[in-house]
Amino acid sequence: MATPIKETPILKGKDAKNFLKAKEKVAQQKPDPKELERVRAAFKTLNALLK
Amino acid sequence: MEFSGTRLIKLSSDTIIKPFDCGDQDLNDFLINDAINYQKELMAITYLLESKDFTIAFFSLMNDKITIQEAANNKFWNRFRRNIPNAKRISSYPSVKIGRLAVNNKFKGLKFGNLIIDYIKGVFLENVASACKYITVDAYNTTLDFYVKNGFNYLVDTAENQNAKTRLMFFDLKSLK
Repeated sequence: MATPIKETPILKGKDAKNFLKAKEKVAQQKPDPKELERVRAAFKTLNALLK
Repeated sequence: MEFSGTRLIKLSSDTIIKPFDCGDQDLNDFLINDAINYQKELMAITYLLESKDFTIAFFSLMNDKITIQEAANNKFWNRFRRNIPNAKRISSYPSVKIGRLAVNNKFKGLKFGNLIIDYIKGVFLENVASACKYITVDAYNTTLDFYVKNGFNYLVDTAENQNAKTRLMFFDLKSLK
């Protein structure tokens, strides 16, 4: 049997603070148009291959 | 990237898995022996990207959530909560987890891993039946740089976690909205 997929734990203390700081940072940023375009293109490409 | 003859399929008990070797016995073992069991138990769905002759890559997805235990009456927490109406103050965020993702050695260096990550971001950005804010991943230690380059951050940073075979990471889909 392969290594089981790890469960996501409840975040506490430092991990919780780091997570919320990252969340706040993202909320203040604007999306990168190039990344968004790449993501949409990948979605379109693989979705067309989905059987 | 050439996609002629390539297809993306959902693993089922009838699927004949085409030859696959990503160089990691544990990941190979997951695909051959465990993926279908996760699926039967409704724990994870595995998708195969395959060419005419080979399994190019596979990835397994499962629902997840990121939950935060907040300390009571703490200025730090209040700072983050002050702009959120009382009714919306939740400490769990809906997520989807990439349980496993691996690319066949024969197709390494062709950016299939990046394509799949972008596809998963796209699926939950463009085409969802329910809301999802984060993508989490149980990443093998050998692939951490790959996920960092794809915008993922570490979710748990304890010494115990740093030395584990896999590490939990997350990507905020809001960064694309």
